[in-house]
Amino acid sequence: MAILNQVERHRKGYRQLEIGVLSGLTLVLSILFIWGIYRALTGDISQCAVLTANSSAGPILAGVTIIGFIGGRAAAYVRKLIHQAPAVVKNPEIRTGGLLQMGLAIFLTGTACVIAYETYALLMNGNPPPITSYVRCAAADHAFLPERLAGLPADVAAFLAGLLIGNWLWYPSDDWLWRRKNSDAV
Amino acid sequence: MWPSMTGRLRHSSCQATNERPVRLGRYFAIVICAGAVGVGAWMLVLRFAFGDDWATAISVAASGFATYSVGVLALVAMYNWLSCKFGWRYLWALPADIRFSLDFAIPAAVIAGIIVGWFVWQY
Repeated sequence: MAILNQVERHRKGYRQLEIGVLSGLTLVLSILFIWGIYRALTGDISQCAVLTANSSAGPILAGVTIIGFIGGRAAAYVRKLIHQAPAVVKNPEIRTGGLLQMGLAIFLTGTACVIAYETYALLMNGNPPPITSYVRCAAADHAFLPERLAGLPADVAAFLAGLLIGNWLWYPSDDWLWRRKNSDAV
Repeated sequence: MWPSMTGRLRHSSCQATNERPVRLGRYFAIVICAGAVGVGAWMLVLRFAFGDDWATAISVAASGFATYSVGVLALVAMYNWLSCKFGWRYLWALPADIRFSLDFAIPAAVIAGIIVGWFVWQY
């Protein structure tokens, strides 16, 4: 209750903080992606499979992504508290004309194109190299870092991507899970 | 008067388009399931007609199904974005009588993705 009152009193400030944090995380993720693209363009990505074979790089990447995804859900609960928003499916007003809807359409179209490329690459037996080849290189890359920290930028990027996707796509559809009645499930 | 009857809308009008959406949830689910069946058949063709190993066949099929599903979702998102500009009715792709919570469906899809991703990583 005290938390609700605190949020109520400083709602505007919390919203600004929310926008700042989400924008900052997106910026960091964008920089990491640009760095990754630069490294991919200047290196030979066909050599990375041996570097990550029988290593724990894949499970670690998957693990930090899942942790980020769950963290994104927790952040979404905080955002729900700040906005006091109803569940999307119960909201009588849905904005379809704004930048967010355009962003969603572009994001999904871009994702479909990337996965289509992955499918084509897998079908052609790895020539051109599939997206997983780039991920393997990122998981093995240590660039300016000591070798024992290889893959750290990729792990950070995976965590942030999981956090933002979990926060966006896994937004609570209704009330708090532990307070929800079965009849209220959407 | 609801949005589709008003012609070209102002941006502010787009905030009330959920009043009478086009509910295509059931058909959307059928389209996704049909895609899954088609991709499954493709996987079997790759395995038995072209002699690919199971890891390759599953990787290609899983990636193909993801492309198909995300592509359909992208079309829905694109339609809904344009619906504001052209005054079309909002398209609701979830079944109206959905019996499961998205709070569980989304992590379930993520877990399925991780399992399939394991096959892709082995490729």
